Amino acid sequence: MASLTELDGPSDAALAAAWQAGSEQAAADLVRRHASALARFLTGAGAGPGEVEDLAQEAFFKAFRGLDSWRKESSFRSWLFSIASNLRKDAYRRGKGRVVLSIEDHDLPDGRDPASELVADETAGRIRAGLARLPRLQREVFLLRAQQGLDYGEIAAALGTTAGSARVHYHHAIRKLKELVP
Amino acid sequence: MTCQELSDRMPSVAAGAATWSQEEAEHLRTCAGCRAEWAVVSAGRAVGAQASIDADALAARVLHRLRTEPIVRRFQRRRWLIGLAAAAVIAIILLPAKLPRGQPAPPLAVDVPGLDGLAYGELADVLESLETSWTETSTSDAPSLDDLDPRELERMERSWEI
Ligand SMILES: [Zn+2]
Repeated sequence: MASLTELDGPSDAALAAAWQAGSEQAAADLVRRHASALARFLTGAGAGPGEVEDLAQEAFFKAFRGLDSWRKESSFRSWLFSIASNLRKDAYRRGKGRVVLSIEDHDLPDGRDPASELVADETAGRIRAGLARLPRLQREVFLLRAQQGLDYGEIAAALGTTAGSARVHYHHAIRKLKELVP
Repeated sequence: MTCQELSDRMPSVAAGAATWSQEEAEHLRTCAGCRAEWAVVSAGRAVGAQASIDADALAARVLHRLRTEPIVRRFQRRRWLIGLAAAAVIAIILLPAKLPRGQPAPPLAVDVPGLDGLAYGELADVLESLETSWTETSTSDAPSLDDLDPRELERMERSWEI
């Protein structure tokens, strides 16, 4: 499955094969291609600023070391998210999986009028707070769908569930988050 | 146009990969439920947008680790451990059958090197691995060896080698 970022260069699968054939440049290209999306996912999932970099590093490291187990029917990105999700899950088990809420992000597009921007800001703040209260799987399904734009099949592959369950989790998350919209 | 159809289109519109058709825009204008969902999805799209990561520095660190950290062959290690545990189970099953009739069975003690060093949870993992199939990347909620971090794996490995 091609991701948008593959349109301008070799596919993820081609880069992965090149890395396996010894090209460090190919591995670096894969990191540059997916680092930002992974950081956004981890941040949305509640990782603190210092944690995001460590988790991203570990996720890429594990991905390259375990590349043979990447089944190519899912995208490299959703496979990477599955590793990142497992790392977050491990952190929960060890009691370190705090969900950190950012209070200082200005993450809305420019060009809005001040009144609507205020409402959108308020909504965004409520959604971030609401996300932190969702069960982990609902939160991650919501992020992979709304933030990353993955389809249910890819979400299922990333989170080790079925497309049907992913859809149900997504709609549960939406139903709870809708209650927070002013 | 149903609410479900509109819901399915929201992530791609929020990502800028698609735009609303006239019919969809009209539905959105008149349906409060869909408007609330659209607000949620739009806000969800923007969550984490402030996260900044230096991708070049990250790539350099990942490559450094790939060059310097030894490859841990989990498959071989796990297969070795499974073999050991399987031998223990077979011994437990077969030993009583070998005893002469009419004599009380002595207390059963099977000495399997390495297993003594395992914690209860680790032992449970070994037994579980005898029954279930496994993959390199753990995606289930059940704990497994794949869930251990490199330091924990090293600690376990050392305990097996004693
Ligand atoms: Zn509707």
